[in-house]
Amino acid sequence: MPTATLPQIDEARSDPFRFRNADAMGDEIGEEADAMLPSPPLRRREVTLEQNVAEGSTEHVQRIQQVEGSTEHVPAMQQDVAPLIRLSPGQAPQRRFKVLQQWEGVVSEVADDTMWADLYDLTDQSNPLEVVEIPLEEIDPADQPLLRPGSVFYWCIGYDDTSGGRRRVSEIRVRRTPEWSQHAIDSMKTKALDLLKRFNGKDESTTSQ
Amino acid sequence: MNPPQANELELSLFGAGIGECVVVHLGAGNWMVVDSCLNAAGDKPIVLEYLEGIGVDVASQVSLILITHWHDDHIRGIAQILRYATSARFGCSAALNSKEFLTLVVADEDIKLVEHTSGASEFADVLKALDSRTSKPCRAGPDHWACDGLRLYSEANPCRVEVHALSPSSQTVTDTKGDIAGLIPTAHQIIRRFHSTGPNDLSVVLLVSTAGLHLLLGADLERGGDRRRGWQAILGSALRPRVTSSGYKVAHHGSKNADIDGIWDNLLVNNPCAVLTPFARGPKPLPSDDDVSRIKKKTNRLYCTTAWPPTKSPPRRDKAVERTMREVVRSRRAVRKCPGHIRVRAPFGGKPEDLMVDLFDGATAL
Repeated sequence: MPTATLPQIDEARSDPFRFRNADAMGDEIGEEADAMLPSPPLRRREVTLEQNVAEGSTEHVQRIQQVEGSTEHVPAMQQDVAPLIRLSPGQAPQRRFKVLQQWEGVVSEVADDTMWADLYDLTDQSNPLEVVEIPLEEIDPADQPLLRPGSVFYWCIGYDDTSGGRRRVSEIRVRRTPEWSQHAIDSMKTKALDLLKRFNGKDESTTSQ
Repeated sequence: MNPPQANELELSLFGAGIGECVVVHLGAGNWMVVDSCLNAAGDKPIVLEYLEGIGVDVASQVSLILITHWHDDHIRGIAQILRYATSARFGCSAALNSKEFLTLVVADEDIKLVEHTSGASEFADVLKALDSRTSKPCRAGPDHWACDGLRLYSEANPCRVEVHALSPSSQTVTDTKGDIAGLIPTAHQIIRRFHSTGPNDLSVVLLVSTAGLHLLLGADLERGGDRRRGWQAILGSALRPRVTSSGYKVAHHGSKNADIDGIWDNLLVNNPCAVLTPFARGPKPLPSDDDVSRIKKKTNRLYCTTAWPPTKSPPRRDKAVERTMREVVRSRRAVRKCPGHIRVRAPFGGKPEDLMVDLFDGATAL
């Protein structure tokens, strides 16, 4: 019984300079590969066709299409996870971020071009709280409208290592929080009114002069 | 440390760079706690450590707990104290008895996703602690809404001791509703921590009066815009007991806007014992050098709960971190973590010169 093998589907070759098919590279890379990324499962399907269907004929192609569209007729299907690409030294886009220091900050005051904040050390929590003044130009313009007294931000300092070299990075990101809904506000006001009614029935002050 | 004698008045003030707590021995083993801050580890109210350390049974011997206002440097841990001090009555400013403030309290429960939440969160925990004391929810809530002229404590044996609130004034109670209403969120506003920045006019100033010595606890009360507000209202109040105090917890960390001559001229004895805590948050730490100089013209007995200045050099970190910080920040200072302790004791019925001051954990004479 002759078998027809469908072509392997390989979808990650858009940038042949940066990515190379590990299978195709074979011994070229061998043990020197420093990183290997998994490829999508290779769809290697072995389809059994009837002997009287000539390979390459119209009927042959139609049968293959039928088999591919209906897995219950596929007698054997293999889904292998195989390396798609292998990154070689010099070509690998190595990128690593080494964190040196992280803080959580709470804004205490905002002025025209600067803000004051309390910094809580997340890297070494035994360190004391620090009060800092940070120019607003150090904050991403997209984050600046979020800065108000009480806003929380995260400040990270570290090294960004890439194949292009090392950069010292300071990144301040303001924490995003949801918005108040009208329903939540109405609910709060109702609860507050209930509390107030309770309390005003209970002031047990000893003596008022 | 030893506890005071039954007939001995004590004022202990605790504070680090941020946070303040006062504890007063009212005689016969009864105590009053005013405001709260945490210990150096940040896991327990400093007052619980102190009282337990000198053998006080917090559950039965703390008679009164007060918060002067709702700023987070005065309220951290107060709910925990309430849970221990099961027989204590609880009081707070009458200015907080409003739908507007309670809306913030309820709202803050919804924004606990934000770390370092405000004093409103702690107040919500206080209400829960009070709720847990009774099976009748309608009984929950503060025992006292303190305002000008309200007597909060009175005991005749073995010594006559009374505690009066001297503020907030009626006008302040009215004003505060509007001030706090401005903090209530509106729809589509970003959820964030409530940050109270307004004047401290709603603070509760307390007078502890005895047969001999009296103490004035200034909270964070500021001068006030006119004679109906702040310290000006206290000075003009007809309800205020006409006594002069020998001990003064300086108002609002010694700031200029909380100081007027009338306090020293009308409410305090000549050269009183003055104690304060610093405040190291924000652009200008308190008290400033000018503040210290100004207060020292009024008394030569001025003490601070921390070493001076209240801030210290930041910790040294990796060189790259230090370099980056120098590039990014304009100014930087570390806040002391360990609360210092000033203890003032004197016999009830004593004279101003009988006040004995002891300094612990970095507290200093200025």
